[in-house]
Amino acid sequence: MARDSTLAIETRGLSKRYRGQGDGPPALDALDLAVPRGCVVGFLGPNGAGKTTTIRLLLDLLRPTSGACTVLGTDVARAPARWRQKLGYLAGDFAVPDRLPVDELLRFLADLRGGVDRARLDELCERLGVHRSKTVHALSKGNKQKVGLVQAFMHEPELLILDEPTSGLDPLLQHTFLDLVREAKARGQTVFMSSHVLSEVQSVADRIAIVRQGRLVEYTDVDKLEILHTHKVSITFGAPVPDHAFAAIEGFAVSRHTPTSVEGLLTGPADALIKAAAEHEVVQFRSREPDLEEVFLRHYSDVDQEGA
Amino acid sequence: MSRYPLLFQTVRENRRGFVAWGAILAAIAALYTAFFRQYADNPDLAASLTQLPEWMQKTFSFQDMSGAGWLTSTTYGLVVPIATVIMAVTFVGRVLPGDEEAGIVDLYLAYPLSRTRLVLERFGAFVLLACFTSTIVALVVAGFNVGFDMGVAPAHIAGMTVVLVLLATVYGALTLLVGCLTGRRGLTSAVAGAAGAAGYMFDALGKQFDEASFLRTISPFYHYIGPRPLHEGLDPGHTVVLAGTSAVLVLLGLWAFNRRDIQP
Repeated sequence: MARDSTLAIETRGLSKRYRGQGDGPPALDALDLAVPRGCVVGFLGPNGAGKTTTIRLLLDLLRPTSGACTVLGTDVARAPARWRQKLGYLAGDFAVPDRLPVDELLRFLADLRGGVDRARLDELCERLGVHRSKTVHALSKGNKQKVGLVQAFMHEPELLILDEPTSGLDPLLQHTFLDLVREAKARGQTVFMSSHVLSEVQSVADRIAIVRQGRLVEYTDVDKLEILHTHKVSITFGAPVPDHAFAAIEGFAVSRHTPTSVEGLLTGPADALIKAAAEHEVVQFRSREPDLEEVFLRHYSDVDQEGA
Repeated sequence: MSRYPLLFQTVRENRRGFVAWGAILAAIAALYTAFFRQYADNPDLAASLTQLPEWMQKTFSFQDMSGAGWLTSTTYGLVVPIATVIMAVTFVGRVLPGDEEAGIVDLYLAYPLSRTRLVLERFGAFVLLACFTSTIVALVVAGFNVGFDMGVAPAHIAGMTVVLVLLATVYGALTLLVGCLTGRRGLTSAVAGAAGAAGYMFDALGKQFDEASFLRTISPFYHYIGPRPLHEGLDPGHTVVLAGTSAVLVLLGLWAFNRRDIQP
């Protein structure tokens, strides 16, 4: 099979059905995905959608039921151990031997990498505020996650594969993390990161891939992503409004309607909705980013039905 | 920077375990060997042992009460090998399937370390542990041998130490194989522990009943102590059986581990 050297990740019909999974839908169903080198891809989906399965297949930790994947030009199934030198990986549930001090752990991991620039390691630890003298098991989840980020970034790998990298990090550190991703991109590194929160990745990602029930339902440039322009709007009125008042507004899908309130997802311009609301006494008008589950119900319900 | 970072890290991480197992084995070796003097100085006690039911005498080989005979029935025949097998199942079970269940194997395999290297470096650390504890036992026994005038040739103690290490590697390798097949620590410990008990039982039953003597040949305990290394010195044939069994079990484990999904 011809391998495109401009791609960091290429999967072809990648499927995974776990042993003992029975006849249900596979954990991953015929995934075709091509990630160009130097690109930051946000890999989104609700919990259990197949994100971690995909990532573990890319790392050869799992063996596909069918299909294949090529990472950095190498067929993963035939990749020699030294190929992983080009990868940085942070697992969703980052686990390390926990009875030793952080500093000793990082020295060992640097050794296992075959040597890491000391200054780079120090810089990362300082920026993320890693407690180097503490024993690993004494760290909180967030502090352990920082150690995970340091070990993934420390050797400036060609490809970073990060599974839910910001989980447990406080907002300030999430910011630092996003800076690290931007710097990696500026250096030409590729970043493939999963998340179940869209807003977390949209500011750094070039492209967004969305999986649901093991299938890729969307893969597009981040600015072309329709769901980015979707908001959850809820309006409360001072007096009852007629049932039909918001039924036919373009781009607004009502999800709940009581006599004095309406709630729904708004995609596209808000003009028509606001003008319709303005005909009544508005007590409260709230608009927020919907969570992925809500968006999925609206945008990808066809997948739901097929999958059911 | 070392050429075998995971092996040395495994030793470093488990340094307390090394010290603890060394202390445990030294203590039980000393305790059991020390009884030799009481027994040798007390003819009534010696006579009482010959009064024991025949099956007990056979199981524990109490017929021969020379220094080598005492060590063969007690220190090297019972407590030290059993503790060593428990150590093998516990240690290998923790550093292979235990770490896999904890998700740590995931991390290492994202580093430039093949699955084969990961298993071999982990197992290598265990072999070092077995060498360490077996040497401590040998030093304790050698001390009593001189102090109590037990009359065992030092070379025979060395030979006994070699087969003790190999008994440990057989059960370590069996634990490795089950761990590599299943990735489950609890299951691995149960299967390997049961195999340890069965090995001891097979050797004991084989000694009792001539019809069951074939059971001895499949028991690692028989190849370990059956040829009486403290009396006769190291037996090459039985030594090769123990080493070969370990090698085959490790190779099967590597084959299995390279073919399956990593848990969880």
